[in-house]
Amino acid sequence: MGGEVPEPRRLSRALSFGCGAVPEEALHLVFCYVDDPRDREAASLVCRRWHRIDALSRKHVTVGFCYAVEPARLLARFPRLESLALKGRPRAAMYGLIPEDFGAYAAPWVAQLAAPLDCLKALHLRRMTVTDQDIAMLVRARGHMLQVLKLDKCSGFSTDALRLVARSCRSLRTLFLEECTIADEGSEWLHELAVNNSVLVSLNFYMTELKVEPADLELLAKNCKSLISLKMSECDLSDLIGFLQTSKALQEFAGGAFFEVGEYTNYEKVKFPPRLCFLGGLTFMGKNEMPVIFPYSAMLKKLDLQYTFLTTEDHCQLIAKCPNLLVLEVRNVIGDRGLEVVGDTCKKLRRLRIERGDDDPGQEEQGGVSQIGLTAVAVGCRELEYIAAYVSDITNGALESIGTFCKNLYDFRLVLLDKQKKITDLPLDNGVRALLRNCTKLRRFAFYLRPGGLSDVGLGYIGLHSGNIQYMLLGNVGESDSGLIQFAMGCTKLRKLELRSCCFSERALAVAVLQMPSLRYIWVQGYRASQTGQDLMLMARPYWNIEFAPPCPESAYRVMADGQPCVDTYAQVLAYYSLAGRRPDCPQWLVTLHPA
Amino acid sequence: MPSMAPVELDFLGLRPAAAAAAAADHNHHGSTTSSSSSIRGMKTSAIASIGAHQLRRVIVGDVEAPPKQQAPMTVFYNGAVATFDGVSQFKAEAIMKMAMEVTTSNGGRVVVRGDAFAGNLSKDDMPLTRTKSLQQFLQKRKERLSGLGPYQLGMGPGGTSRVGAATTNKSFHVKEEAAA
Repeated sequence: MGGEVPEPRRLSRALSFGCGAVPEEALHLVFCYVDDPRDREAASLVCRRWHRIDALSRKHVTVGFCYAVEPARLLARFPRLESLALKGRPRAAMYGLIPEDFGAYAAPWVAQLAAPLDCLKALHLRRMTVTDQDIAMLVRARGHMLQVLKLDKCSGFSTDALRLVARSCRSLRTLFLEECTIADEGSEWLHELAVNNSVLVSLNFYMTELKVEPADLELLAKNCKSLISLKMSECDLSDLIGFLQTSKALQEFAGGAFFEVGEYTNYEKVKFPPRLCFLGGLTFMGKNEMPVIFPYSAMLKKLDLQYTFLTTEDHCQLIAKCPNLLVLEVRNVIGDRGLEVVGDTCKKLRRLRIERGDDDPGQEEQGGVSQIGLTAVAVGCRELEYIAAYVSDITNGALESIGTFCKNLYDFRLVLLDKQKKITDLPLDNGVRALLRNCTKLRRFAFYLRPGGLSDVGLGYIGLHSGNIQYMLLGNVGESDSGLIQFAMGCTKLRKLELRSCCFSERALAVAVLQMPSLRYIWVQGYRASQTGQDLMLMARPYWNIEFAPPCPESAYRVMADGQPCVDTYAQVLAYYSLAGRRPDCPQWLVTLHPA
Repeated sequence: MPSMAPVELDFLGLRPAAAAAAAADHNHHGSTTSSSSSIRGMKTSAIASIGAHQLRRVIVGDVEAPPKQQAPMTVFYNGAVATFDGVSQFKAEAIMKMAMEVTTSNGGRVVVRGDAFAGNLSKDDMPLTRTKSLQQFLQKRKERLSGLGPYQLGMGPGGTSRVGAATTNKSFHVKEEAAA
């Protein structure tokens, strides 16, 4: 990146010396050094000329919610866009809480933008509905130029579309399909990719159900010498020996599975490429199979053990060998003991995720994480930027420790599991206050507790010390409406809010929204909803869309993509700023209250 | 036909009005009276002060109402619990509105305490859900441990046959227990 960005006003004056016309090229060049979207936003507001130059030189735009703006408007402002990211369904969709017919269709975007955006080479769609036709249209318009295609937790398309992409997009460097729901019409797409592409750097179909032929992977490795990352669907590791030998440049691999538990001899021959530093998947890997990765453990920078069969003790043994870890993802079977090993060993750790293991009665995994483990990690891993943890127990002290030691924390998420009846130290008012006050770099924050976990005072603290936090998810917090209002009055920079399972009234929600000047998106599920959402109209204002899913018994009949009834039996509120007016494609269960 | 989640109304006033008399009135509606003096520290005087006759009229009033999907309505008041059948959503809301009016006219602020409110939601009403991938993995894990699923039959997911005799699963069991 270039040198310093000159302060806009001084620059304008400097460049207005001499002749009246200032070379546009000069300003263009300067703007090329300005990447940060907030800086760009500020620069575009200086004057019309700067607005135009920003518009013509902006390379990337992220549309945080696809219904916030119409494609045509985006095209009109940024005709030379090279990279576009769109987000669709609410985050809750990842947890099965949003019915499949919510919407977020890629069709209008592809139809109106794929052809006219002459410079487009990267497209990232997250949680959207994408059909084969949409992909076909995209490929027709941009296939020759497309370098990055990321379909991230999308659904609605099949491997036929992937075949088309594989055949037509020969410049593709990144194909990302993680967690998509894809109709599997055969594995030819991978063969086509292997045959037609020689520049692929990253291929990701991790957490999809696609079945592929190991021979095609080997072919891909042979033809794409620059392949650095492969994350794939489950495939027995013993079938991947050939691929792993051929792919010499590979640094990241996820998706191998150990289907033959107890048969270590099958896996003895598995050798990972020399530069490997990220391992994930490893489905069903147990104590006996662990030695497969021992030779590489010292090099590992990222390790995902969420799908393994390792016990607490196994985690301790393995992690003790990984002093260079930057990213670690585990289930809570790691236990406090495992976290102590993390604190002792992984001094460079930046990201830690502790997922919720099996806590069904009878299936309970030994382990579970508490304030003991969290404190050990806070004290030992001072470089942490991201912590997400499902904990069985917690104290204010642990939160205070995190605040004291993890000064680089950017993203903190805590979920208190509901299995343990008595929690050591509730409410968490003082702990959360200490954490928020001390972690000044925090931008994303999630706090999901249980009744009694946070009082109105504590909720007020979160607002008061919200600082620069832009996104929050809160669950089971506060005691009454006044807590919510107090919270809202403090959140000056909050842009996106998600609330679940809270005791607040509709009226309080609407009033709270009006207190938050930066809020552009709010999602709520599980609150004191009325049949009509009437009180939500208190927050009606221009450009503010209010959508409401009433609490009706029919919701029990709503069906998810996999045929299971929708778990959402509670009212939802979705409200957001939009320049596009009323949504034209709302499903029947979602009522637009505003604009009327 | 799936049953609707029970509609639970919780009336909390700040004034501990004498609800004992009201409690006696409600008893003959077939309520189950708990002997404890409060449920999770709630003070529930609002509905008690409505008066049994008013309440009865609202609930039972419309006899011709077709019994659609009507879940039982449970009312907590001053340590007692009453359950009513055949209360439609609208009636339930009407009752709640009435209780709010009575309470606010008494000068008390209606505060729904978070713990009490959510305490009425059973743990299963608003469960923590998992991501699909984690859910699928845990399901497969369950199948392996209980000896169900394709692995037991010696068939891997790719359809190719694997050495997956019962012994494999047993030895896995043993190792799991030893390691745990």
